[in-house]
Amino acid sequence: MSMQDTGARGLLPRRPRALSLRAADAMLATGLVMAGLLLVLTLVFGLNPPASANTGSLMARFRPPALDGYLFGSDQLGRSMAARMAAGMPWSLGIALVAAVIALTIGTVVGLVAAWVPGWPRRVIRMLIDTVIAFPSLVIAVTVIALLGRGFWPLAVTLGLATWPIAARVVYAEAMSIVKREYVVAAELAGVSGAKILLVHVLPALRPTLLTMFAFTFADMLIAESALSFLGLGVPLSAPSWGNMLSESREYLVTAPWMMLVPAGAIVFAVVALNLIGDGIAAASRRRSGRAS
Amino acid sequence: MSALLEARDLSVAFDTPRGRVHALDRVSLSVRRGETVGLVGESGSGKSTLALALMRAVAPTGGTILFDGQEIGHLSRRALRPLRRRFQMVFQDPYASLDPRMSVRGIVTEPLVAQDYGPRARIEARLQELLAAVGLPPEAADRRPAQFSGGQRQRIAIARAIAPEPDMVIADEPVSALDVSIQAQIVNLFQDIQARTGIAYVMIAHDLPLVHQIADRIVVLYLGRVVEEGPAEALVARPLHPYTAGLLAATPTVDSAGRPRLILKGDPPSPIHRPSGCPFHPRCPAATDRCATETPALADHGDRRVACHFPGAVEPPLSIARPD
Repeated sequence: MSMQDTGARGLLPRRPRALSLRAADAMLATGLVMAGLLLVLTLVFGLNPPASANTGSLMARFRPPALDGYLFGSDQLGRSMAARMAAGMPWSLGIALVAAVIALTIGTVVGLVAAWVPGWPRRVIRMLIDTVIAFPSLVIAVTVIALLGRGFWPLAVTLGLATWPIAARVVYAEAMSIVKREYVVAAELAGVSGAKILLVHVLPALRPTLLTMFAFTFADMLIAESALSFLGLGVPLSAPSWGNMLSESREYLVTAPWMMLVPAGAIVFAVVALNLIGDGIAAASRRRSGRAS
Repeated sequence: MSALLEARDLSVAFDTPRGRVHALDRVSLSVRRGETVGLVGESGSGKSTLALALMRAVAPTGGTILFDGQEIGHLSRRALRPLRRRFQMVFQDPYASLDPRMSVRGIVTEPLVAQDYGPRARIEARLQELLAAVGLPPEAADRRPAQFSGGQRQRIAIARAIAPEPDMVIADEPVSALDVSIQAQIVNLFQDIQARTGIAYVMIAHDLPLVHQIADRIVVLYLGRVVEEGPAEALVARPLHPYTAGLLAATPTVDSAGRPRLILKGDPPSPIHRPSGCPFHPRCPAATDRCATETPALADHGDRRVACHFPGAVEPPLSIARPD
């Protein structure tokens, strides 16, 4: 191992990790391209839903995928699977996005407050977090949807409310180590208020963690949305969300497997994109903190 | 003259899985306006805990702290905030005490903004004044800490500490993380600032000659207790406590070769398992049976105080030359 002169920066030689770092950058880039594609398609189809998504031709039932206008085949009502997958994008991705934003927002606020306040308020918050985590989220979802009905917002809010404690626990653990840093102590001794310290010093230091967690939570929410829709607890049955499409495909698994493969493929595509982004951000922030120390 | 800061019987204890650690055990200390008090002791003597307790970053488990006559030892975090303008701190490691994401402007003006120092123009003017006072160019304001050397970073930290015109700054080993060539510059900067503003300092160090150079009075801590206190000159010229003599002897000097040296044997004992009697007796060359059983109280000795049954029993073998 060659020891390079690192001058005043410290005694540790730079580790020869260039190859794995390039791999991490490639992961991040691939994930971003995939997510960008999904975003563009979502915007396009969200604004102009393809008419063929809901109007099929009974003459064209169960068409296998081919280059005859039914690229991804057709379903039991002769509707284009490609159009339905596209029309489902704003539903599935939108619900997952809103749920992830809700979960991370509540989780970040609660986690930060728990890391700052000492004594019994902290214990109460931690107990609350553990209690909500201990609740089976499926039961919460069934109850809330029974009360509020099916739809975009009930599902998004339910998923967000069932998931925030996981985000809160990660933020709490990370923030606990940040508030012990000397520059945070210095800010408190300079007379800065607790809320401002959390906002100005702690939250920015959490950014890589939050970005990574956002990507992974988004992916989890996408899967959860699909699972609930598959169970009939998700979006309205008429909406072509990916979970609903999967649910419909059950009866035709053997005769028309593309009905399952198309929405499943879309989910896998989006989840892989988000995981690549999450891992890429985590690797990049590790590299940066490795350099700074 | 009344004291600016007066700590009485200050104790700080931490509960650890291996038992209760008495980091500070009934420490009394006073700082007058414009005075520099040096705090010395080995690692683990409680110097840093004392600094954090005096700054109220740590809540004391016993005793009182009077700042300008007001009890601050038991004030809540919220109640302390408006008082913080008056006592500030400089940390040991300028790589850890500055937020790497903030500009120097943000760092130095943080206490000013937090304490409603005035309109933006006034804060900006104060920033320029502070940068000039600590010897940094005006354009430093828009840079981040990573673009500065250790010595420059410590200048930034000092600018932040003196920004709200405090009455007192507590500095926890402010030069020990810096290159030797930079240390003298930073010490001079502290002295310049004091000459101009009449600020009081509590200077923590493990380096007795350095403290001797800048302190008016020196307080020696051992295992969380004050073992000796007195005017800097007298304390260094004739230490009364064997531990002080040991610290002096441990300091290398240019002509120390071949001279007899009083060596502090071993490490300080763990504060969890405190020795009986005088806490220093296992390492003391003059210890007797009495020292092992009876704890000496901190008693007046002229204008000094010492906690030893046999003050002055151990003469330092070397005289310390002032490093300037």
